[in-house]
Amino acid sequence: MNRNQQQTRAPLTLVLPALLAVALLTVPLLGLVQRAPWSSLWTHLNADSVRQAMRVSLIVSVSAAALCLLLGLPLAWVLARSERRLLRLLRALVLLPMVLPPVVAGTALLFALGRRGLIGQWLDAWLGVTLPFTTVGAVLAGTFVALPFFVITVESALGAHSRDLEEAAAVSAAGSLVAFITVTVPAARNAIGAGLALAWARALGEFGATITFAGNQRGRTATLPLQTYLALESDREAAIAMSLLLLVISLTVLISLRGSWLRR
Amino acid sequence: MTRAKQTAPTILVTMAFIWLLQSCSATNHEVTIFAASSLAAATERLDAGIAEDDQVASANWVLAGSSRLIAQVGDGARPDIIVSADAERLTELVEYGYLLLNEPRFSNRLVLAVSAGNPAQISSLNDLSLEKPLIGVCAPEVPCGAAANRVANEFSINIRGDTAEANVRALAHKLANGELDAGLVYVTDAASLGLATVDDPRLATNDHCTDSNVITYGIAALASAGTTSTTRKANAQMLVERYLLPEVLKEVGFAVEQCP
Repeated sequence: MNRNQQQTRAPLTLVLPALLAVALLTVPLLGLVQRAPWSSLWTHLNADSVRQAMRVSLIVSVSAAALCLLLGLPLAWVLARSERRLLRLLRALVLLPMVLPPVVAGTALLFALGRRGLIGQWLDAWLGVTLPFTTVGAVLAGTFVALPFFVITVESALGAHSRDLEEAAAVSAAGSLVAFITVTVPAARNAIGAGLALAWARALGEFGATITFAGNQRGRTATLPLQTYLALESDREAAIAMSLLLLVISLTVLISLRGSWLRR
Repeated sequence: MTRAKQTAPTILVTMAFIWLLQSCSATNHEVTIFAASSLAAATERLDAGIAEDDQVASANWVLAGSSRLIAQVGDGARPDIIVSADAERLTELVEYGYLLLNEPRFSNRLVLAVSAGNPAQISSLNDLSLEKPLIGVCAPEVPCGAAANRVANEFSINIRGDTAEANVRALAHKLANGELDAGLVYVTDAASLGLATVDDPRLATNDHCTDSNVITYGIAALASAGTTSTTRKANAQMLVERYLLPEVLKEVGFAVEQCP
């Protein structure tokens, strides 16, 4: 940084679009805040339907984040350690849900795990299990979209640096699983925490895949975003109140991440 | 770099931006029609009918829940025509320069649709309260869900929905895919997706104007050219009649008739 201490004046050609970008990102949020029904906010958020949706959202997003940890940590480790060409393809596949429209994700889940789906039909016939329209289905939809956020956040922390640590542990004769748990995971705890927070926030905000795959039932699959979307049809103030709640949660996650993830 | 050299690209960027904004809001010669989701079954055939008349511009359909469409007008959208399954709320649009029109008066009704082969052996409305089958309805916030609630109340049926879908199309598709066993959808959606239906006398048509399972669409059009309110209304009415062709609506399964 020392070489570049003297501030160069940014050209107007760059500043103007940059300001527009900032406006594009912040003006909608201002719009939301400006329309907020402050006096009746608590009444709206305390309504039965909203409290039910909060409960479902909490259960679904926390379960999805837990699944991300359980499945994503080993996956991140595999991706970080191997340089095989096949794994590069796998990495692209793992990141796909980040760019896939969530409605497509929901449709894909339906065709795979729905009652007439590729695997779902056997789940139904053999085990009598149907995943769509259940809380488990909503958790799966949330996990599907959130997993890449966890994996890429953690993968970078499991790179070369922690390999040295693990090798050192191996020299001291610890088994590789033991080394993973006692050395690698603690060393990557900040990244794991950040990955969990991001995955949780993504699962909390999930809408398209959930409504497509898990449907919308109060107390079971109707999460806050679904309830918000439907409230727009009948009660805009309630929808704005719920939007504000989700906005505050998202902001809180971002601010809490500042230490481990946003600092460069 | 001198000031002058910097100014040129700035002007270019600004001009490009203005051009972008203008091209987004440029008016074209299509007629924009906001219509309730349940008109999805009719748009293709209406388009074909509209195309037969060379004098008439093509229609740009925007399909969504009726309340959402009305809210969008409140937020600044100005479609030429609005067809809403929530006729009462259309009165809110008068302040934005819309005229409420009575013709063509058409309606839809809920039917009990089942997935192919009726695997859950649904035989009447009462089966919608059974535990085992997967049942779907529309969310009470949208007109088809409100109609389902009216039916449930009138006949004291406890409909045990596994999902309350955001719009009737999503519900009908889930029945068509076999993800749901039974549900209450509009007769037009059942027909367009080839869904099997179960006859229940309580859902039969007795009176198009008062049956609890019937919804009547409301139509509003932007008050178009004309010096007096009478000519404006006549012009708006003429516009609507070019797009909402009663014969086509009937073909697709809507009921087209007057109520007292």
